[in-house]
Amino acid sequence: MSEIIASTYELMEKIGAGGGGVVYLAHHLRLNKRVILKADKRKITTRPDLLRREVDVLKDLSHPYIPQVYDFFVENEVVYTAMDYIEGESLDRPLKRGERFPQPLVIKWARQLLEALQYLHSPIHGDPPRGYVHSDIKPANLMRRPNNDICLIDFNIALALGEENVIGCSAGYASPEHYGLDFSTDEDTKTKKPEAGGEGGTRLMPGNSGSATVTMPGNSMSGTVRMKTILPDVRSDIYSVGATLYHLLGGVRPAGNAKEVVPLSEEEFSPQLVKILTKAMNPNPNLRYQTADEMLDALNHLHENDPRTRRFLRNRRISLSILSVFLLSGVAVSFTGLKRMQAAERFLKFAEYAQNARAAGDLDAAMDYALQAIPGKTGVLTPAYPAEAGKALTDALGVYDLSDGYKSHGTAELPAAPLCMKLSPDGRTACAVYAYTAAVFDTDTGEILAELPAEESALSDAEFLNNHVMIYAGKGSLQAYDIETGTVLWSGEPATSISISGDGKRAAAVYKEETTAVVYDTAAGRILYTVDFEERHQKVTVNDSFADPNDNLFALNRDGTLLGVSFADGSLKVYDLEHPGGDLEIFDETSGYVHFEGGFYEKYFAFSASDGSGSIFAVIDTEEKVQTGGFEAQGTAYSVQADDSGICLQSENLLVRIHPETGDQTPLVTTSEQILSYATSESHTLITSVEEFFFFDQNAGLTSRHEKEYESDFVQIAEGTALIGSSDSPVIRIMRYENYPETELFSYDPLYEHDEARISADEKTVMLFSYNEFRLYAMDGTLLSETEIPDAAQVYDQQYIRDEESSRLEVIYNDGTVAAYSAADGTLLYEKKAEKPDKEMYEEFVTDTLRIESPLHGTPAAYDLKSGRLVRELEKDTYLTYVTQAGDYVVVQFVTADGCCYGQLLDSRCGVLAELPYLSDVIGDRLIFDYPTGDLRETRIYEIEELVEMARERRIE
Amino acid sequence: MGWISDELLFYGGMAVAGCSLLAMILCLCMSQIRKVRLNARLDAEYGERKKK
Repeated sequence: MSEIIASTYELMEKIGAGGGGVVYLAHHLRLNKRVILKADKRKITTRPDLLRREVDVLKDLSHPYIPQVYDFFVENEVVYTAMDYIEGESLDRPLKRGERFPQPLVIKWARQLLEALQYLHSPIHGDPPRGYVHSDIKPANLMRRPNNDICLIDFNIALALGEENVIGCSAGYASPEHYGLDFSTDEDTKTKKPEAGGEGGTRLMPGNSGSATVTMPGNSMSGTVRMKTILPDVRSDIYSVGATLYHLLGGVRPAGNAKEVVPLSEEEFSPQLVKILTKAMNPNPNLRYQTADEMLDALNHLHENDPRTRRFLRNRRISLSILSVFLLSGVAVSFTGLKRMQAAERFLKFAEYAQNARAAGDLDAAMDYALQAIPGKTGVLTPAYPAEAGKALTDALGVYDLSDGYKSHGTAELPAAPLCMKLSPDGRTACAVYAYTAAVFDTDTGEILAELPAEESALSDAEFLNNHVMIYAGKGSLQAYDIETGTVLWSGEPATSISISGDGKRAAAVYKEETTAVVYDTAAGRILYTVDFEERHQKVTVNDSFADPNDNLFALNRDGTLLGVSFADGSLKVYDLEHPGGDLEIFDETSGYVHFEGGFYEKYFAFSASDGSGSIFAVIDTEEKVQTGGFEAQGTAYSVQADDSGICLQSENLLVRIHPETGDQTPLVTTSEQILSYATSESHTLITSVEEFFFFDQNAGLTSRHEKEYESDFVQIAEGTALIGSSDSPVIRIMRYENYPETELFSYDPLYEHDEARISADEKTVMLFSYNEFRLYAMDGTLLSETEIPDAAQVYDQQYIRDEESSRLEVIYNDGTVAAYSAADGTLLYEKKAEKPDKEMYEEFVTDTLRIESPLHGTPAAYDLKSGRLVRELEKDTYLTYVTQAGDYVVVQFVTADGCCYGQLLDSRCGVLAELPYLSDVIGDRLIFDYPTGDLRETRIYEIEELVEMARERRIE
Repeated sequence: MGWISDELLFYGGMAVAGCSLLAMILCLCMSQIRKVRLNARLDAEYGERKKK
């Protein structure tokens, strides 16, 4: 047929007919495209709104899955609607053919359908804007296009939302509310019977309330019921979508009664999809998806909401969470370990710095470093202080060194290395000449009190007139400087070398290589004498700016009437200042000597002279003008110091005081070290060797020794203060004599030799004993008894025992005999036979945390008490005698090969917290020290907090 | 922390962190493989996901 309708459409074929009319495929003559032309069979007298319903709906719509309407007209009393030709077939046809559609395809169609409904339902169409409900969604109204997309058609009974109007019912696809069933309150108000309309047909129903006989599809019951007014909403379309999808998937139309719909099999179809459809087809509209958006969202998130996806994500989340926790924990633990290691390393570093500073004599710096090595608070990131830090602090504080002697007091730091250094008679101030400056400093604080310009020569000298006045080679003139007032008392001629008379009333000075010397009255600086050297001069270097050869002798005697001078030509002369004719020429220019030392002691002039290959020492009686003593040596250099205290002679490792008349020598030191420099005071002698410096008492007994860094060129000692300086370092070490009478427990004759000293439990007696004898004293020093131990050669061991009953000395013999002597009166308490001691056995000591083995021959070792693991080897080449648990600490005592006793304070991990030189006994937390000076002294174990507080207080001071 | 040394904390922590990291990488690789397989399976069931 080629019928032309409205001069526009050429009918091509009839493609369908239904309750709404006939559907033709037509050709739009102007647009030259195929269109659908629907001829509505209802009379034109039918309500226009009903006739135009589809057009009215579609004309406002534009969506890929909804057909476009082009035209609406009447011709020959037939109402025509022209719309998009949707190529393809409606989905009911393949269903009737028994075709089944794959689930993914149905889901795709579902999404497209819901997108169309989403658009359709939105209140954005027309004027006023409104949404539409399709009301007749079913497979027959879904066109399947060649590209497998769908298109929703047949909007004949579409309703504007909220409008009352004629509605349609397609059995199986229509929602319960289309039948007037309201399951929202769970009341089944009606049963209905569908009128004839065919399985796929849509039955129209009046929208007004009224009575009708209705039976639900599949229900045999029927009856007259009241029809409710239905306002289908989007949820009705949702139900229809669900039912349509149900049919597309299952191949079976769902039951008309919503309550009788059998859910699809979850074994045949995805459970999630089944749930979606079940929800969409819920009889209770309130329990369905409330909007197409919701259902579309559910379909669009099938992947995400699938239980397998959720399970996968959950498992992955759990795994990653657990692993993240492990990772973060590992990082945290590692970070903690790293920080603790860094802190521990820092503490060790500061401990080392502290020890280095202490060795250099800088106690302030040592304490500062030691305090930095001890953290205030420990925590997760801050470990406890290492034993080395504790030791550094105890060493810096010197709390466990109760011996009398010179100890490091501090340092004075000059701007440059000194060329010369002198100490005041009281030891409180000192002067050092450096880089043409004379610096006066306080030996207590190391603080520089004054810096005075000095003569620009390495020969520039300084001397103390008394404790307050200093005479020095000032720039351009000899200066007398009052330290207290900071004023120059008087100035003289230019000078470099200076000598002060013993009585302090006269000062002699010579300037470089001048051929005259000037003698001053020190009170006012008046020149008393000018001494003519007869064209001779003292020895100077070619460039005296940087070096002093120290080869010259320039000395006044006690009352300033004699001046001893050596000269560069090798001559040596004593000038009699008051009687020029009484000068004494000791050597002339032919002597060949290049180095001179010496001075005056009383009426004697003592000197040494050397020519590099040998040396001569001589003492001259200046009154009798005769030599009273002396000797020569080849290959040995003599050093001589002579002043009011006497004549000291040094050669190699010998330093003696020599009598000017008899030549008797009194040793000042006993050492095997090569003596490089020395200084003497009334009570002590200070010497330096290559690596150490030593202090000796009046009996030439060694009292202390200290390490040093530089070769010491300058040493001074006076009244309890000693200075050690070097031309290689601007730092001058200050030593102070310290004694601790307040710690004294007991004193005895230091010449009495013994191995050990013990105090009785009742603290009434002191026993000094060795293998062959012992002495028992009362605490006031009274000797109670002196006993020889019989068969001393057979003694295996001795034990001093303190217990509740008594204190006693047990002597154990090789044959097993044990003899006990009372610590009260020294009498023999008992003698008994016991098992022979096994000489090969090792001694074992047990503390709270350690087991210490001390083999007869070998190094003692400490083992962890619980695990048995070796903790540390203790001191080598010594014999472990005692191990005592003292609170949280362990005190170990050793005896060296030469019989010296000492101890160590250990922490629970066997770290050395302190050295305890001359430790003799431990009673609780009390430490008893036995010093070679014949003193038993006592202190206690200090907690680290106390030591820290002590250090802080000292730093403040 | 007297019973455990700082070195043990540091190296032990690093070891735990290292092993955890390796395990995480392994877990992610295996997870990715499983995800691809699962997605393929889901795509077969539900169709390919709609690209946004």
